[in-house]
Amino acid sequence: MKIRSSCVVLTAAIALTGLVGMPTLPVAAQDAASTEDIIYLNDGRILHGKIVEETRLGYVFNYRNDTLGITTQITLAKTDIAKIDREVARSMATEGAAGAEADEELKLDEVNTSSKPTDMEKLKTTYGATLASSDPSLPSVYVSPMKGQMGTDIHKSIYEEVLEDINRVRPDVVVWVLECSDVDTFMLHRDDPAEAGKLELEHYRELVNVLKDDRRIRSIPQVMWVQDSLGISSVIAMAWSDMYMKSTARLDGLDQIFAMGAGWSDADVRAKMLAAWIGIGNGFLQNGGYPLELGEAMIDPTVTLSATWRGRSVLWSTTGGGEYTVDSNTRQTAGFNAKTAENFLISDGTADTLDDLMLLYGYREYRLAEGRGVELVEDYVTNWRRAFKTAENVAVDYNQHVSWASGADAVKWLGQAKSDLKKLLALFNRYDAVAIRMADFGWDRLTIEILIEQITDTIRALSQNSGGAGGAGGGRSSGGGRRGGG
Amino acid sequence: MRTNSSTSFVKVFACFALLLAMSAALARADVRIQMKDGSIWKGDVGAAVDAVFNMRGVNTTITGRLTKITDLYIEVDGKIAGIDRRQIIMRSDLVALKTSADAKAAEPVAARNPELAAPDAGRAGKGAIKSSSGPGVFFMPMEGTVGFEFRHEEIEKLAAEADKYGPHQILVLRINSPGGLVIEGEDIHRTISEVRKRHRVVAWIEEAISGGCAAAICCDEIYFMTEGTAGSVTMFSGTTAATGAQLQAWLKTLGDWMEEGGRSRYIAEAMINAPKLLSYDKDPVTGAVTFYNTLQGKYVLSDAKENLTFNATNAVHCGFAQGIADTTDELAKLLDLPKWNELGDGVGRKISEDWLRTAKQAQDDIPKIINRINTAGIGRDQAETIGRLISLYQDLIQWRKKAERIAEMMFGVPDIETLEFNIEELRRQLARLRGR
Repeated sequence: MKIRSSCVVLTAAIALTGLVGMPTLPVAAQDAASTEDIIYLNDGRILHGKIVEETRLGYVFNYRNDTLGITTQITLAKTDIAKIDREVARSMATEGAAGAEADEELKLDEVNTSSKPTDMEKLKTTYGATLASSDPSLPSVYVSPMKGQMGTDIHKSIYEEVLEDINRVRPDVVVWVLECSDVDTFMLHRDDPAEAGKLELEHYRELVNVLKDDRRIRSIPQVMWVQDSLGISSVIAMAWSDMYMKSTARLDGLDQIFAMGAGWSDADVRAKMLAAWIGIGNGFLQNGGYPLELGEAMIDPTVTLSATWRGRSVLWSTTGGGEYTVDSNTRQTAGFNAKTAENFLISDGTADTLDDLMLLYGYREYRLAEGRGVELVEDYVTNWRRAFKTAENVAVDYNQHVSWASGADAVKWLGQAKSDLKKLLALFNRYDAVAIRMADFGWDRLTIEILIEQITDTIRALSQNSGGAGGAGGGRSSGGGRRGGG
Repeated sequence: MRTNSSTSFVKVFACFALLLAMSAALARADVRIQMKDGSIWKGDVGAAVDAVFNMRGVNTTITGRLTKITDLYIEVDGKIAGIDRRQIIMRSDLVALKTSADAKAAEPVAARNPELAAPDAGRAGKGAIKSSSGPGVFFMPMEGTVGFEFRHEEIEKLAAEADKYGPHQILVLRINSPGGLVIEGEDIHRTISEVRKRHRVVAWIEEAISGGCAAAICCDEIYFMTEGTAGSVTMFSGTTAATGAQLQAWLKTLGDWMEEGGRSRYIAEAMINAPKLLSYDKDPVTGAVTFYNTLQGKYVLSDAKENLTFNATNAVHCGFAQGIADTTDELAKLLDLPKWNELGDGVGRKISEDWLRTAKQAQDDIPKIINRINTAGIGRDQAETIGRLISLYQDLIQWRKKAERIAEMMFGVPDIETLEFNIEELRRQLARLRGR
């Protein structure tokens, strides 16, 4: 059962139970703040603080809650206690525990799904949901990021590998963590247009179909958790019916789809193209169970949007008449942030941490599945971007070698240029993302193959010292990386 | 003198005979079918009838022979708009039924079309393959540009495979196409119309824009994937949409295709031309849909500024599509099949893969061949150059034969006659060179 809305963090001490007995055995003085006592309760909770006093039946304990930044004195019954570690150095204590000293948010990049569970139970309690590292009876959660540039960092090829891993692990739920924005939040930040999402809707449709309809994992529930989505990534964000957002997340940017069809001068052709692209874009929202009116307003800036609440559902209208005007601007599409998305029942809730998300999803306790989703994706992104840097450099080298290919050393430098082209081709074949990015500079597989043939012919001609072999056959005079040209 | 046992035997035999006689009598008894307006048709299986029924919002008439009657539906073997069909009509869709005076129209489909009575026709005709795995479909993914990757030839091949199993097979075409050549669209329409005479053709739409949609509407039934889209069938050349007589002709043509599939021609018009309006009403009780080429209907599909493209929900709501399925298992249920079963060892997938491979290879090879022609002289003497050119032109001829439209329309490869003329001219040059 899902619990809507963000929860307020409660004072953990109030939830702790204990019996109070007459103090009979005073506790020895302990070191100051450099050490702490750790009490392991039978219910799995781990409490950090200082034992003030030991009684016949229990302990008076100064419990420290780093999340709230408060210390509260509580009394714990000995019958509730599994184990006590006294005077543990605070740095060592947090290493073994679930990070009470660390940031209370379970950030995605701190998740280390490949670490083996230690002997101790790792528990981290937040306001409601509890993450446990073992106990197979708890529901398992598989987390996989979708972060960076749409079409390259987020590419079907890597998610097919993730899908294999999900099928291996068989978690109880999969969480896709989406973080893509073509425009940064800060106005002063200079966004790199080269990093904007690629408008490859067919590719993204295939990606969604692969992840949602693959027979092997179709029975496993999936949740979309939007950290931020500004751009074409919003079609992915809205392709899942269970969608949550981080409090700072945006859900906007689908006007790019409109732009794909709006550039035709002929009114009928433009109407055709717009209808087609809007229909294709809306197909993603249909997948997420969203109505067509919402999709139209998020894609087409000329469409206005109003909403009427009917119980737990929202009726959308693009013709006016709704109780609440969502978007009346005919030059801008409708966009949402976490709050408005939640208010209009577009998202199922707002969650800033995985614990929050799981609580909203209905899991009071959960464990992380031993999957490699994070590792697979991060490795892929690192590797393809490294390959892309290499490709850019190779393209620059190619232009340089071609420019040097004249006179006595022509054959030598043409040979080098041919080798550069073969390297480029190999990089394209290894990572489609490299081919996609290099296409921005005019490089594509067919062009490279033709250039290789031309250079081969030229080398042969030069070697035979026959006529018509001047210069570099088919060298590119521009493009090939930002530093290219010549 | 009779014994008690023989008397008993006679009694039992008499009862049995009486039962047989009663059964025979019942079999000859008239069947009564009540219409929505309360009128009753009385007749028998095998009667010649004119049936009017609601097919996707359009009242459609079939004249033929009543071949089956059940509590839920009747089956009529006859003609719709001149095309032979074996039509299942749900009783709830039946508008009118009367005994027909047209006995000829009531002849079975096979009798009117002897070629369909060929050895491999008929459910259990001589020579027809029987599926050992139970009922199934002939499934073929169709993707790419109409005229290049998406062609009528593959549909013909699939139908030929299905023919081996006898008529009334189910052909499922999974469509993913942004459109393409109108001329190919006409070939596809012609092919599907022919195939529909003997098989049930189903369109399963992932994306059917423009020419892709024109192909889909030729099918008996349309199903959408949840993310499916279909529409935007404006004809244009370069950057300019068809106007005037050409537009009117296309409106009529696509409207006819739409009606052949039992759908309102107003849908076609709204898909082609933005100013065409389309709305509909849906009876809340019967679900019957009435389309208007105005905005008078409760549900507006296309106003004067919009071109119509369906998504899954509105396609099903208005009856353009019969249902939504995201997987083959879901589609099997909608097709009333016990499970998804691809007949012919997945021959449809193979036909599709083979052509897509060829199409891709054509698009890789042809530009390289053209480049080689342009650079044939580099590093070669005249004789070698001519020899190479002859070889390259022969390669282009092969591609013209294997992938004509791709070669011609994508890369401007001349026709075979021109290429052969070029080869002859090169051979003469070579002969002259060698003759020096």
